[in-house]
Amino acid sequence: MALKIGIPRALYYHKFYPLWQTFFTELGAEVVLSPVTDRNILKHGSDATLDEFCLPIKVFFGHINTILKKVDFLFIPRLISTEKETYYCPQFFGLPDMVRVAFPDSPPILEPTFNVKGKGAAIESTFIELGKSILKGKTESLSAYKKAIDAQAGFYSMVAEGTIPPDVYKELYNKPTASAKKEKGLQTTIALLGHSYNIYDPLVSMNISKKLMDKNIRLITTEMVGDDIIDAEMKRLRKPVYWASGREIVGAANHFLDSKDVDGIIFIGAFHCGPDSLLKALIEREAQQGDKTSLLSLSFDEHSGEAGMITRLEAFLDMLEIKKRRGATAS
Amino acid sequence: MKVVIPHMGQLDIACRGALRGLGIDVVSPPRSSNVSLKLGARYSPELACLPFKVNLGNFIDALNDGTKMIMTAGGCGPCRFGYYSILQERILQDMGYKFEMVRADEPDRLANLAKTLKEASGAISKFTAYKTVYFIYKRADFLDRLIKWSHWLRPRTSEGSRLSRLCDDAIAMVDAASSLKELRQVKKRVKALFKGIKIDNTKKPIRLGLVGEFFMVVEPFANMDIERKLGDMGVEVTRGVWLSDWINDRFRFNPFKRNQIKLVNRIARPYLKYPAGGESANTIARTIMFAKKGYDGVIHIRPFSCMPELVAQKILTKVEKDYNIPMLTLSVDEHSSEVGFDTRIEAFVDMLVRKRDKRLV
Repeated sequence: MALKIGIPRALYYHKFYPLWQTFFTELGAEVVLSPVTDRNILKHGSDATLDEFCLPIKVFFGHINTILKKVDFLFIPRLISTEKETYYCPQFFGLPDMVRVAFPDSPPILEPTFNVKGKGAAIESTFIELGKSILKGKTESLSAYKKAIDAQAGFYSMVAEGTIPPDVYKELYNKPTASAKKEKGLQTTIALLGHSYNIYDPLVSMNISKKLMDKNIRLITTEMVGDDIIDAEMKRLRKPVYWASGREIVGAANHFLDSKDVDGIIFIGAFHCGPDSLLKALIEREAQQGDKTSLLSLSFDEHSGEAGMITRLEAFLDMLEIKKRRGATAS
Repeated sequence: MKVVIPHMGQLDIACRGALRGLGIDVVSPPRSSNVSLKLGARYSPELACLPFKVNLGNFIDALNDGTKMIMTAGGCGPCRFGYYSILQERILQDMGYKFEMVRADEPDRLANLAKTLKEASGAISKFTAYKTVYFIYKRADFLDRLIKWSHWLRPRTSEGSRLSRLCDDAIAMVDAASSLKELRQVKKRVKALFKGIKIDNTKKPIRLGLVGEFFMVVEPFANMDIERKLGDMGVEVTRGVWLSDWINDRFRFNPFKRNQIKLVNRIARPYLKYPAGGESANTIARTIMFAKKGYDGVIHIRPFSCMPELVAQKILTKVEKDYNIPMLTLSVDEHSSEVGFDTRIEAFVDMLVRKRDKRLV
């Protein structure tokens, strides 16, 4: 019987799922995904954590709760740094430990430590270690890792072409897809910025990406911005941002604030997110300088009402519309 | 050159005498108060943690008083502290202040500190920088020892106000000492003064550990003077973090003292396999150490929404059960009321005293 490995549909699932999924399937394990986030999951997550944790962490604990009993192993990578210059959020460092405390009856946890800083090991050897912990040899793990990287690269290139990650996942993993209707006559382009686990989670973001796409708006998200652009933006700052996704968000925001490629920027933050609290202020201050792209910044917690969000969103879109029309008549 | 260093415990006192020799005149901003905190909080992002707001309040006060240079520390993650200075600089510039900010990014390395000192004072050699940091360490070490003495004395004496005055005098004396020789003389004088405090041997204080985020533990304004309050209630407090330890762990001036970082990481490992930044491992390890030493309880203090300390707090729920040690967590932000705070501490201490008395009977 194949080993069942549980992956919660939260946090870095939204970014690294192809990598993990391919790796485990190649090694002959069965990947069990938790269901899509709903109110019930969030409620269990809130109960398992402390109230000051950010919304995505609560959602994560809720997902753990749903798959706990169904799997042989839980996969909770300890993401510390995957690039020399950045860290992940400190709360990710302690995720496996916190899960063990919150769920004393949890199955064994696969917790590879991804740390390329200092004395940390290279990513490749971390994967070999990970393979070892489910009793797979070095060569097997290595070839699985190679395939996993290819899958992840394929995912990145699909995203770079302009499909948002949830749709890419749908295409990759839900075989019978209703053919995505081709957008036509896209009028407005909006950059939707924020942590991937906030933007793409249907509950956390209250499905904002779908709401925007239904309005025939082209979306550009953080993942679609090239590394070279972000690097260049970081050089302009007094000190580069040292959080992995914070770096992408600030880089992309500063880029779009100055460029005319997009009509507006929507920044989504989670209430209580540590990095967001500072970076949001940085982006908002930048947006107030002179002639910049319009910015709407929203922050969500478990008490956010959908109606309030829709009102603000519609007001913002109307404003962009007016601005655009005025621009057209002026020129 | 006049330079302002934000309040964090006795950091400004430790630096002032040492930097005087380099021609850097460290001015302390007015003592943090609710007024300066309100001011800082008004211009800070609403969800920034408390130290950010207190620091910003200090900076605004100092710039209003005419200081032109700010000296602060940075870091490269993963906690928010490392990015404070960038945003603070931006906020102050947007407010229209003209100033210069020198920042020690990653103050763990001597080279970075030397660079910062050079920026503030002009050319200095690496050796001078080393000497300066050594002197800062010596001062911080003595200041910490003063606090340790008062932690021990306060619950055992009835002359609480005299002790407070004595501590203030001693700190002023350290402040005035501008060489290692003078510091040695000060030490002798202060020791004699402390011997003058009468001890009441009938008092049997309970022992409490104080752990948590660095700034919150060492800065009396941020923790609402919790150490003094506990002392007056008859509690012997032991801190989990010390400024001198912080310096010594990085620069090893005193090679005979254990490296506390390695120690706490090892002790915390069964609960937290990789330290989650900040003082998370320290908080967990110290709690375990206090429990093993038979302390009556531990108070965990942290800024509201502090990322590393939240991880620690979640894990402490297990440590608390495993080691059977009573804990009180205090989460502080600018809206925390001192009265509510006092009530909780008093209730906690009352509970511990009753528990101890029951055990003694």
